[in-house]
Amino acid sequence: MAKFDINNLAEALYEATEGKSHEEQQKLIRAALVMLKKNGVVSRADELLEHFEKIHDKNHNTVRAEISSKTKLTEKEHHEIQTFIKHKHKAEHVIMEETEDKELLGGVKIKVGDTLYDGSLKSKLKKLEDYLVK
Amino acid sequence: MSKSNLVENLKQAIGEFKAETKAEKVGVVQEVFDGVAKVSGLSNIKASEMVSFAHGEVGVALNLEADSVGVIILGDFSKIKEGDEVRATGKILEVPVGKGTIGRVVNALGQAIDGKGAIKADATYPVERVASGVITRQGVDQPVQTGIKAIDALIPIGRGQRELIIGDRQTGKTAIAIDTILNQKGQNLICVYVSIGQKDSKLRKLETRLREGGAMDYTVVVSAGASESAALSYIAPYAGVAIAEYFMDQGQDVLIIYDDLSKHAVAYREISLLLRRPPGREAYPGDVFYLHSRLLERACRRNKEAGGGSITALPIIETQAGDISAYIPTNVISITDGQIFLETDLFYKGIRPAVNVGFSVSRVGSAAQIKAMKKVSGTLKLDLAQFRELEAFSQFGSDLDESTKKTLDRGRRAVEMLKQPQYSPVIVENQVVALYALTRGYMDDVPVEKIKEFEAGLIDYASANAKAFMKEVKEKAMWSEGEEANIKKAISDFKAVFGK
Repeated sequence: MAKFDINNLAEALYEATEGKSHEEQQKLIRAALVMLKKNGVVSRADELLEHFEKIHDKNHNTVRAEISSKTKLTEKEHHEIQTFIKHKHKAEHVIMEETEDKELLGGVKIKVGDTLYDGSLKSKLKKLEDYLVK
Repeated sequence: MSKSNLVENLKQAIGEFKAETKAEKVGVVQEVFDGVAKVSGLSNIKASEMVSFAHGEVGVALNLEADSVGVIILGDFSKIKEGDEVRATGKILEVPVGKGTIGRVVNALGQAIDGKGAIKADATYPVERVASGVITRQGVDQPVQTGIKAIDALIPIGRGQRELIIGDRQTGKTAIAIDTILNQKGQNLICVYVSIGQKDSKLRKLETRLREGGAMDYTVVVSAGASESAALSYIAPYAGVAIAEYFMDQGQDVLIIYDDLSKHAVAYREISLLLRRPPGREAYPGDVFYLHSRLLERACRRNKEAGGGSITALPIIETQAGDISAYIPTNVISITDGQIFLETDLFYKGIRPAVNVGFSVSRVGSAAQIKAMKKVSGTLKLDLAQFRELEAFSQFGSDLDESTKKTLDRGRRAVEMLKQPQYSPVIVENQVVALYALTRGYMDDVPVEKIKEFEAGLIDYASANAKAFMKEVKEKAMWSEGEEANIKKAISDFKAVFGK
């Protein structure tokens, strides 16, 4: 028997549930959970959700971004960053998660997947330090 | 510099500085142990690309998997913890190279560790580089004079050759390497000594010895000590050869010594097992042959069109109980162009350097011997081979025929003459004179225990009374007939004086 793979299960679940009614989806989810139990990996349900999310994002051309700034972003800044990400990553939808980080001193740090745009004052000062020391 | 000047300069420097925000690839440390880390993210990373950790530590990506990267950490890994951010640098690992490295001791990353300030680099070279191709190469035809009679006469090494030095612990492997470096004064050969997993005390002793002998004027020492991580031991020889390649690219001849590649293989085995690569024979990974072949292939002699220059490699391998058929020794023997085999038995018999002439070969070297040396050493190898064959028999009885006796006598004298103390290299003209006297039979009636004394005396005498012969050998690599008569006369004259 092939090895049980959470990623495969997530893919199967996504394909099966797509475009189905709410009740049917509930049924399928229950079946997936039973499968997890059978394989003794209920504790990895989080992973299933993570993979499911990824597949969904990919199919709906959605990217998730983590944005940290010293102070809360204004409406305008929020919008600008959103357009920037849409443009750079050719995405239709952007889900933004904003956090405040006093240590940045200023500017913003945008992380989309494993790509980082570090426009914070802290990193700029660090770069200046390296440059002057050289 | 005045205060206002300083401020002005600083202002200007800050004015010139531009901080651009670029897209960077980042990852997160998932697990870290024993000098390796598993990092998620970091998509599009290249193999052996440098990554930087949160506290400035540097790592190299070795294992590229579907959604994680196996990284070896170069340096201190105690501060790195799970969840730390890792940034890709987009650069392959490089070391600073240039004339500023000469006379210095550097670590595997090319940073100075001798307390004499930072290295002034002329350029940076990638640690991993593809070796020179076939078109750019040329045959080996110039000698490296090691100053060791047994080697220069019987197992000659040419510029661009790869000659393995192999033997058990404490048989004088490093001694041969050091003597060779010491003998390169004024020979237009830059030396790079790479110490891999050696005791720091040994390295210190060696460096002091080289400095005293004036050899640090043309030598670079690269060190990855026993207390440093396996990752640095793994990188060190590649860093060393990158430093050597810089000099070769300037058209210079370079000698590089890897001391030793057994420890290098062990370090690589450690890394590979930690990165969960499948183990093979003796638990070494499958690519351990490629590990050494790609390193030693970078030794070469380049032709004029390609800019000239050469790298001669002297890798050292330590065997266990004389077993040269173990995995790493056989690998490196097959990669190199010959080996110098050192034996414990010979060492304790007092035959030092303990070179086993029967097992040692140099596959390209004889083309690189000077003509005079070829003339005198040609019969020496035969003499020694016959001697060894008869020596075993002769121990049973004493009634030997005349010719056997003669062979034995000659052999004993040859063995005696090839003995040489450490740190006392002999220049090639002197070697030729001594070997000439030996192979032409002038020493046959000198008592064996007086051979050393005779040799030293003869060299002194010839230096004073056969100057023209020495000069010819040195400059034209061969003697003329007229000078041969002179040296014959000088030897006969000296013999008449010797012993009186």
